[in-house]
Amino acid sequence: MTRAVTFNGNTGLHNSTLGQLSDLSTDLSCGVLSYWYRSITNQSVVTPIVLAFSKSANGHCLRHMHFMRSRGSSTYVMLQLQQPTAPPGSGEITSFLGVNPIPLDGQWHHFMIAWNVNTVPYVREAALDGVTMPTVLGTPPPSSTLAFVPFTIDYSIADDWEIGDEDAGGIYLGDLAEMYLQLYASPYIGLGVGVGGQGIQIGGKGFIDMGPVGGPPRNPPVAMEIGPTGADALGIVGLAPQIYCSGDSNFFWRNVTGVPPRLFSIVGSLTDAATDPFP
Amino acid sequence: MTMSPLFLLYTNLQVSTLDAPNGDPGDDALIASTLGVASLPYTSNDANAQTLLPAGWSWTTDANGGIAASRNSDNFFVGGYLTDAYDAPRPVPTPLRRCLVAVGAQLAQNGLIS
Repeated sequence: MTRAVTFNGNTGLHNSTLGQLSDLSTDLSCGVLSYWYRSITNQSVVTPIVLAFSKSANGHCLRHMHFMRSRGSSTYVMLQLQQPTAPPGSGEITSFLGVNPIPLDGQWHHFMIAWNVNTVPYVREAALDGVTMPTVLGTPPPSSTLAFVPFTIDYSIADDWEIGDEDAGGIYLGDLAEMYLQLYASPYIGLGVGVGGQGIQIGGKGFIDMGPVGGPPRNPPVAMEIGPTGADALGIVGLAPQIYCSGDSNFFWRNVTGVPPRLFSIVGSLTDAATDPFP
Repeated sequence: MTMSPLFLLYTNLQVSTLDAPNGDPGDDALIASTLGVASLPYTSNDANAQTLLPAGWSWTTDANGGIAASRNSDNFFVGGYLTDAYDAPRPVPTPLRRCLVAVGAQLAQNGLIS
């Protein structure tokens, strides 16, 4: 059994009720997204990883994708966030675009991005395999002053949460593991997680302190666990993530438990991956 | 919700600022097919790129002197701003910048956002 799943190009995970979670009843400006991926080839132009959409209101709340230009040869990560109150077409979608192509080499890689858009300039930090990846900001401000505006996102309107799929407009082909999405209000709030310490521990190629040259790593690769005890999502102290999909095909889609249930429904087939990113 | 063709084009051009800032035939083909315009080099030719602005809009400049567009009827402004990792304005070659602004104006004109 591996702690990873395969999306075969026709697989999608869908949830229509996550927006009803009480912690999403307030507009939020901060988030952390973390996941492992293993993929081989550039795919469709838009390869969705995780999305939070509203079917009834215009546009989306969040779209994170692996994006390859039409007839391009490299794939980039892009996170798009929407300002809910801006008039349509006025450039309310803010994009964080990783400056370097991501590897699609059949190996496991870890990507993580954290953001706060309720301050200017917008704060964002991204890392690929534990190495900081600068992001450029793309947005067309509807003002000649070019003033960026702090904003929050109303995720409660999102009744279409998807992993690896975008209404068949783009479908992920590859493996995913340890999909984690935490949306929250204040950058100072305690998530109950950390990186490389007692909270989130991300192993494999990610977040390893290599130590002195020639010496052994000081932070050996370990599996990602959530919660200060490293037990599981239920052991978390602080905020529970809205999405934490972990384990094999029997568990990944179940997401973290809670009320209302957070599980995803499977479109197509979800199977165990041949490998996972953990030693 | 599947990304609209127009927003897909806009996103494509944003990535092009990293991947093909000096122009790319693939981008030109996508512009032509999405906007229904002639197959011409737009992302490498500023004169061609200038033709992409929707009717009722005019080219102008933003507060930094960068390429922008405004709608004649209400002065609605599209700047197509891009910053680097340190939030400094990021230079983009003129034809591609022009294409981005023009498609941004098309988005505004059509009320399409995703």
